[in-house]
Amino acid sequence: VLTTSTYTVKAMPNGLLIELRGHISKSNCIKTQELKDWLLQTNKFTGIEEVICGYQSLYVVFDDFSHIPDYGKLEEALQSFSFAANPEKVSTHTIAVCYDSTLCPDLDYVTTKLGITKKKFIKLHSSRVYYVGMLGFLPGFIYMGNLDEFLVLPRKATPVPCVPEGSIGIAGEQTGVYSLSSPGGWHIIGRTPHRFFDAGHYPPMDIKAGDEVIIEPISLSEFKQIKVMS
Amino acid sequence: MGIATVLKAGIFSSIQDSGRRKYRQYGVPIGGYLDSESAKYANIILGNQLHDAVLEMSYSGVSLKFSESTSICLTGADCDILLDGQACALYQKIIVMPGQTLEVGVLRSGIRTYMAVLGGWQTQTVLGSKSYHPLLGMEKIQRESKLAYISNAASLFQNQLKIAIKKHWLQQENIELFPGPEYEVLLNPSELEELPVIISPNSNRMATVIDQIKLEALEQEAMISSPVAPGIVQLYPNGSLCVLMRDSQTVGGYPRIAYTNEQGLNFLAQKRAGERIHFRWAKPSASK
Repeated sequence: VLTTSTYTVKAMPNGLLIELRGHISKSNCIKTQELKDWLLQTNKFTGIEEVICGYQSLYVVFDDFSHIPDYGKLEEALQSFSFAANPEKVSTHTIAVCYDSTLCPDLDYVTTKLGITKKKFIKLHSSRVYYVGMLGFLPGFIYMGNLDEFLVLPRKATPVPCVPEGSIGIAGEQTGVYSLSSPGGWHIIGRTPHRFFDAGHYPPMDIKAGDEVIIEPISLSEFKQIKVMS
Repeated sequence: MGIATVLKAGIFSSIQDSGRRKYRQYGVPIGGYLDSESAKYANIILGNQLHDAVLEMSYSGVSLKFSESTSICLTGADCDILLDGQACALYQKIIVMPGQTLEVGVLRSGIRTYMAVLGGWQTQTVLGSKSYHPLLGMEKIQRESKLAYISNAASLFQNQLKIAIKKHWLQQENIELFPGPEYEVLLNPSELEELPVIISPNSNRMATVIDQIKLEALEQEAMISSPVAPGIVQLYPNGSLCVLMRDSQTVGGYPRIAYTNEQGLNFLAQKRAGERIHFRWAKPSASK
C-alpha cells in the first residue's frame, strides 16, 4: 500500500487501484475522470489496457504483469500530474422520466414510507442537477450520487429478478438508471423512454462519469410517444 | 459454412472466447471461458488461435449434429464422448464427417468441458467478443440452436498434436491468495488457510460462493462501491465469501479482502458444489 496526501494505491488483479482521499463529491468524481484521461494519454506507463472508475477510485488494468509499475515509479509518474484548477465544462444530459404508477411499481411504497405526496416526490426528485458518479455494476447502469436527503431510503432487503429497461431507482443517497433489463435491489420510482446503452455502437454509452443530468418529468402518453419514435 | 445443430443443450452451455476488453468502464463484464487453461488446450490441439471461441459445457454435455466435415477437440472435465456411437478421447483431435452426431455425457472430475472447432465457432460478435452474456441480447444455446463453423476439408488431417494432460489439474485444491484492497478488515488472516472452505451450490459464472465461514473481521460501515474484477474475494456481512468469476459485476460494495490469480480462477471453475478447497496466502516475493 502506498499512501500520499491525495491518494492511496493498492494491488488488484493484473493492475493497481488508485483511491482518491476525502469524501465522495462531484469535484472528486471530476478529478477521478481527469486522472483517468491522463493515465490513458500519458507516455509514462506501458500497456495500460483499461481504466475502470468508481466514484473516486481508479482500477488501472495492465496487459501484462511486467508492465505494472512498482509504487516508487508510480509515485514519481503521478508527480507530473496535477488536477485542473478550473476543470473543463462537463456535458449535460436531459433525461425524460415518467412517474406514472403503471411504470414504477415502488412509487406508492416510497411515498407512503417518506410520508409525502406523489407530486411532492416528483418535484424533489426532478428539480435537482445530478452528477453521474460512476457506470457499472451491470452494463449501462448509471449511478447518480446526490439524491435529495429527504428521499433517502435503504435499498430493498431482497433484489427483484427483473427490473425493466429504463427503470429509475433510488437507494440510499443515490438515484440511478437501469439501462438494460436486469435484476435489481433499488426502489423503482420512474421510467425513462431513452436508451443509454447500445451494444452495437462504440462507445456503447455517450454518458460518462462526471457529466450532469437534468430530469424532465413527462406524462404516460409522452413516454409512449418517445418510446415509439426511438 | 458448416452448421452444428444442437440436439441436446446440456445444463448450461455457452460460447466463450477470451472475453471483452475495454468495456468494463461501461459496466460490461469481461466474460470469457472460465477455465482458460483447458479452453486454450482445445484451441492449441487444433492449431487455432488461443482466443478463438469454444463451446463451454457445465455439469453435462451437449449433442450436436454437424452439417459439414471439420475437426474438433474436447478438453477439461472428463466425460464420455461418442461420435455416431464410437467412443472418442479428450485432448485429441476428432475428425467429424458431414451428418455425424457427437454426444457428450455427464461431466466427471470437474464441471467444465470445452469443445473447440477448427477455426473457432463463428457465432455472433457483440462488443468485440463472442462470449455469451445474458444482458447483451445474445442467443442462448438451446435445442435447435445453430452454431456456425468454417468447413475446410483440406486442412482436416494436418497437425496431429496430442497432449498428455496431467489429470491432477482438475483435482487441484489449493487456491493462492494475495491481500486485497480491504485486507486489513481481517483480524486473523491465517484463519482463511485453516477453516474448512466448501463450495456453495449458489456458485455460477459470476461468482464462486463459499458459505459462512466465520472469519474474525472488523465491522464494516457501508462501503462506497468501487471497482472489482474476476479473482477478487469479497466478504459479505453474513460471513460468506464470494470469489468473483469472469462474468462478475464491474463494481461492488463489499470488502475485497483478497484476490486470486488466473490459475486460481481456473481451478475454481472446475469445482462443484460441496467440494472442499484450501486457500493459501502467497509468499510475499510472489506478489502482484
